Amino acid sequence: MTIEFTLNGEPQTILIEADDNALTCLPAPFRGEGRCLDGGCGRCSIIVSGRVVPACNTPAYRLHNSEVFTVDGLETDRLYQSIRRAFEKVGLDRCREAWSAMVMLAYQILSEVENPTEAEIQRYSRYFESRCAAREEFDRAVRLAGRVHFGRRRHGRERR
Amino acid sequence: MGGSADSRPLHGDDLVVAASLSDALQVLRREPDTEVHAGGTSFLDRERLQTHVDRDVPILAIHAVRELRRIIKREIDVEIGAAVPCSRLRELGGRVLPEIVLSALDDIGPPPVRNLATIGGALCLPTLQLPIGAVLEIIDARVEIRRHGNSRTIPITQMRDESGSLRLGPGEIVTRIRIPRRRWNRYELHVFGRPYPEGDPSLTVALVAQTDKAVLNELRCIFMSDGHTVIRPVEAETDLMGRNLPLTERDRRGIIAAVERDPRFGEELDDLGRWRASNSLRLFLQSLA
Repeated sequence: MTIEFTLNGEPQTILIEADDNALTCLPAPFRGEGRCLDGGCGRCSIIVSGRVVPACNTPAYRLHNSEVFTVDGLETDRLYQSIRRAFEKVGLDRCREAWSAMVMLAYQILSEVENPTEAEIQRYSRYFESRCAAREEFDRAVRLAGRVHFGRRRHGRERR
Repeated sequence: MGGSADSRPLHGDDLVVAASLSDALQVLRREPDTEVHAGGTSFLDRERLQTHVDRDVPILAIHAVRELRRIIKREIDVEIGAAVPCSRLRELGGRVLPEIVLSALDDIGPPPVRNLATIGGALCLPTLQLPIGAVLEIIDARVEIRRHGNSRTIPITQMRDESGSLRLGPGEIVTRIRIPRRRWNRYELHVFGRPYPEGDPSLTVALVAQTDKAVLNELRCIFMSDGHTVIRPVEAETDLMGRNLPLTERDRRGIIAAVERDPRFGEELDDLGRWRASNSLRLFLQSLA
């Protein structure tokens, strides 16, 4: 059957099987490096209809009529920009391998909790494993991104 | 970055994305062996994908069914549609759902998975019960099960047989879950190991209590090994109702001994599991002081 969706703003029409996953619907450059196939590593995370989901664990049919974004499609997104700046400031931009997983996790945290506490960040990130980033660095980067993004929003200078 | 949610349903030979509950029940009436997906996350892991290919059964996706995506808050309980994602339930917070349920929702999987996974899907894994199932069992949650022309509501304990396998008849689906809003002011949930996917050793210990000043009004405990074996010391729990706090050493030993006397405690749990189960209960009882 055929599904239609937009990927990073571009319309897509793709033929799928019932048991295909969303990874098979993404062109190679957008697939991410994750191969855990249970959603644990987070590297293939995508945003479907405003929610972060693991592409490897998402049925392809769930993309039908949705807006899909990969991390590459978020360049103009204000929240993403705040996250990227905070990650660079803390030094988390060194690891390209886990970049998309960390960014998408931060994106999900800040989409759901405006000013997350350390405990809340840990609740979200307890499944996340990275050999290149310490937990404290990640916590600090997320809180910084939240302060930058929502602090500005509150003052009306920036909008998501 | 909002999205349009499935405005035009998909239909194919091997997949139907139902737009309404009556559509879904019609499909199940015609094809009772259809595999039902609420969130659709579980069938995509490697083993289950292989199972699906081998069985060659059609898929019925219910994630777009409006009736099953509703949450109705009532005075005594919260009625949750089977296709409500876990992340949406988590957002309800502790004023609506018992804290132990929220804690169990966090154990369903990583945050992105919780955006897809549903409580209905988690309860309907064919041969495996997740921690959320054990938690809902001790707080007396009930499930509504529907098939074409028929509906029944049963306690969650009756969803599975002795071996832990799901007891749903052909053409039946879980449509709603009713979670009592009763306040348990003390709770603990320990999940040791990974309950999902199947095959990894795990132990879930869920403990809730309601205390009032220095009196233990009610205590419930459940121990679940590897997502199958469930131990509940119901009689010992009842014996402790109305006892003054802190509990005496004798009372504490009594309920721990009741758990340890259960034949499955010795047979199904290894040494570490037994130690974890007994100590989790002991520490919880001590904390009630």
